[in-house]
Amino acid sequence: MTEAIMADPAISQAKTKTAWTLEYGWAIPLLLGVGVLVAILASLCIGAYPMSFAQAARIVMHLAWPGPLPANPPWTVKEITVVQIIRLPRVLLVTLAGLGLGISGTALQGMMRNPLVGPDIVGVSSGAAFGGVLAMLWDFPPVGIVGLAFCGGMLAMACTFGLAKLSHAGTDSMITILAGVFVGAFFLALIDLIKHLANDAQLPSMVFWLLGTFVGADARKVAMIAIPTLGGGALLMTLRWRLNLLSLGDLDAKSLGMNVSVLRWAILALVSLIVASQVAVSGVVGWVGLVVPHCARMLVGPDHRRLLPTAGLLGALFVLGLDDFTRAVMKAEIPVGVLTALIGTPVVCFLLWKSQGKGWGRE
Amino acid sequence: MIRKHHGRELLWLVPFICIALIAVSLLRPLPRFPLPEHYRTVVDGGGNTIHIALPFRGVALATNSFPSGYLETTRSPQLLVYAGKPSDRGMLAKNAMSWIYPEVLNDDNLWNTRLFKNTSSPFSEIETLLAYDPSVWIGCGGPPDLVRRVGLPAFGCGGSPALRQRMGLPNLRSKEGCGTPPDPMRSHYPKGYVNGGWYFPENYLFPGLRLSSELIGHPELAEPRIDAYCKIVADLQQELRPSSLTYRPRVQMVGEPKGTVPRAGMVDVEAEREIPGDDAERLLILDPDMIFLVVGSPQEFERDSSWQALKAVQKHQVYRRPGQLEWWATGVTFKPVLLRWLAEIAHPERLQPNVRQLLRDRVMSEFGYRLSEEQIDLVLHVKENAGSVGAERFTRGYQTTSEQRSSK
Repeated sequence: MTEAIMADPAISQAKTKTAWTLEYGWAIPLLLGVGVLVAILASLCIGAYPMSFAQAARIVMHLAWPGPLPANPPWTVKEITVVQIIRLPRVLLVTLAGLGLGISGTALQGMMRNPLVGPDIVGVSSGAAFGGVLAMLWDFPPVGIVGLAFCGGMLAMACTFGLAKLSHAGTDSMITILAGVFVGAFFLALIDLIKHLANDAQLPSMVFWLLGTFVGADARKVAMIAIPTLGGGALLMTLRWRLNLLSLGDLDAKSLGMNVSVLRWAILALVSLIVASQVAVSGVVGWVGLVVPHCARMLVGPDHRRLLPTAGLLGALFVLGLDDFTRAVMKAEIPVGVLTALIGTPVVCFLLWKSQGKGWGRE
Repeated sequence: MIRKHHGRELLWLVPFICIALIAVSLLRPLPRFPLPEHYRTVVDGGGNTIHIALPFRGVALATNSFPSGYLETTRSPQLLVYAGKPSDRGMLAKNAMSWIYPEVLNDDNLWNTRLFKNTSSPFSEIETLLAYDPSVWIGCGGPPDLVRRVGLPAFGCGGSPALRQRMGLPNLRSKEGCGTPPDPMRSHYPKGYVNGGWYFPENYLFPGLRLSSELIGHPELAEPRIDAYCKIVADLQQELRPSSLTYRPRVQMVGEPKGTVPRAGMVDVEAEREIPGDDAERLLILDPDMIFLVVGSPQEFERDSSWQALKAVQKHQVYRRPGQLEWWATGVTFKPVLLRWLAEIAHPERLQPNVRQLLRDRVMSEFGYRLSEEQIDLVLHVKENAGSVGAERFTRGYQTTSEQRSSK
């Protein structure tokens, strides 16, 4: 019997793939990291003002390197203005949004052991968006928008899990997703109510913001997303071994000595913080947190030690690519949230059909 | 072996640190453009001092600066190096300025056909403008504060002319009102009816004209044009004699400074009393004698069953007012013509039909361009107003016919 299984070419191929992933899987995040940095520099070359890759790299290197800028720089004032004020803030904002969404989606899916989960599915995006529009209605400063968006995201998340717990479903159930859909719908209704209450000056900016856009990126917005995303993302990275245990199921995790409840709430808080900061600066960019973890899983398998960084970097590449596409090919400021939804839906359908649960098998 | 694996597990830190370092680089002081070697200095509408590089490399129209407005106030198409996005080009194509200056509309180099041609982001707009490298940018929507902070020559045509006055510079709004007698009803208007100082169109037309003339280095061109404008307004007041009018039709008109309506011998129904809301019932309560539409055709409006009870509909006194949104959205040339058009509709017994001739003369004197009869029809919406009472006086050959009638 065992010999028959071993002789099966599909199983043999899967074993080879697993062995390859174990040996070289660490290189994929590294390659993706290099890819993200190259993509950041390449994105700096897209725009009306002509800019070569070498010149963009030179300017960024000098800007990022600690110490004063050279007295006689090899660039013009126009070139550094274009990079430092216009393109770099936007490119960083896009990269950080993608990074945060990729990591958040993967952490949520791992924690809930459910591939259909994403920040927008469990209601955290809607909750954060509600907090954001409420802050805009009350004319809060940008920090207030992030704060309320975070509170909204946490509240939505708590509602979702509270509702799932009420139905005695725990986290390993379709009930959690249903609860997320209900909570999300409720917060969307609240957003509509706020839009109704907003005045003529507030409404257009609210609507455009909710579509998910990176227009108007500046250093302040980058700081607003960079600190929670890089900080929260780093903390999630340190929890990726525990995420592996958590994805085995609550009972197994508990038997291995983990405080499941504390860990789960810690992950939820970090995910809420990251998603809230993303929503606060660029509106709701849906589907990234759902699609990217699937793609990452196909690349490096379900081990969160590799999956989490891979998903983050892949998310950054995905959103950066879409933003570059809108700017360079479509030549218009189409909200990225619209494009991620347009692309995300067929990609998820394709992945579901193609993978048929691979990577999520209980084996 | 374990150490080797441990090192691999920390590789995720590399992109995190790189991105963090690049993000921190944004905290560096902003770059600053040096002053040009040779320049002349002008002060814009907001009291900001702008250094315009010499030799003059041209004007670029930044966010929300309408090419038609620039052309009308400066009459200098040759100084333009950048006129705007495709949407701005589309707007100009519908405007009478495209008849007068077709070279601006047809020159692809003046329009953004490159990357971000459809962008609405002011940041992408700045980048586009940097690529065109003009001596000065005009930003009527208020150029981003950022542009000024980096020392770029952004000329704001809006802002606060009072600030200029405090700087000891000439008053941009002088001659506003053109000597029109004060509106006796003004003290009875509901609170908030008159929007700040925007009572007469001159409130924004004259500063715009004066600033544009300063910008192109010919401030002396503004006053004769302002005087010609005021003369037409004053002539109309003399001919109409509004103070002696016994009947003033109650009218509904939107999109015009409030002072235009009493100047034309009419009463704005909105000024009579405060009715909250902006629904259809409001118009039924106000029930004006005449309605001036900004878009759509009077015939369609009159066919709508909701409006059948209105006096204006029953008497066919619904009009498509000229000069709004298309053909002539700007004003220095056209506002006096619009004023006459309104006055002739309201008081045909006091005024000779002269709108077509006045429009033709204004365009000829301002731009040396002769409008064709078809173009005048388009500006005055003659076709749309064909069924409206009194609008026949704006049709071609009307004057001849009436003279024949009177001779009979």
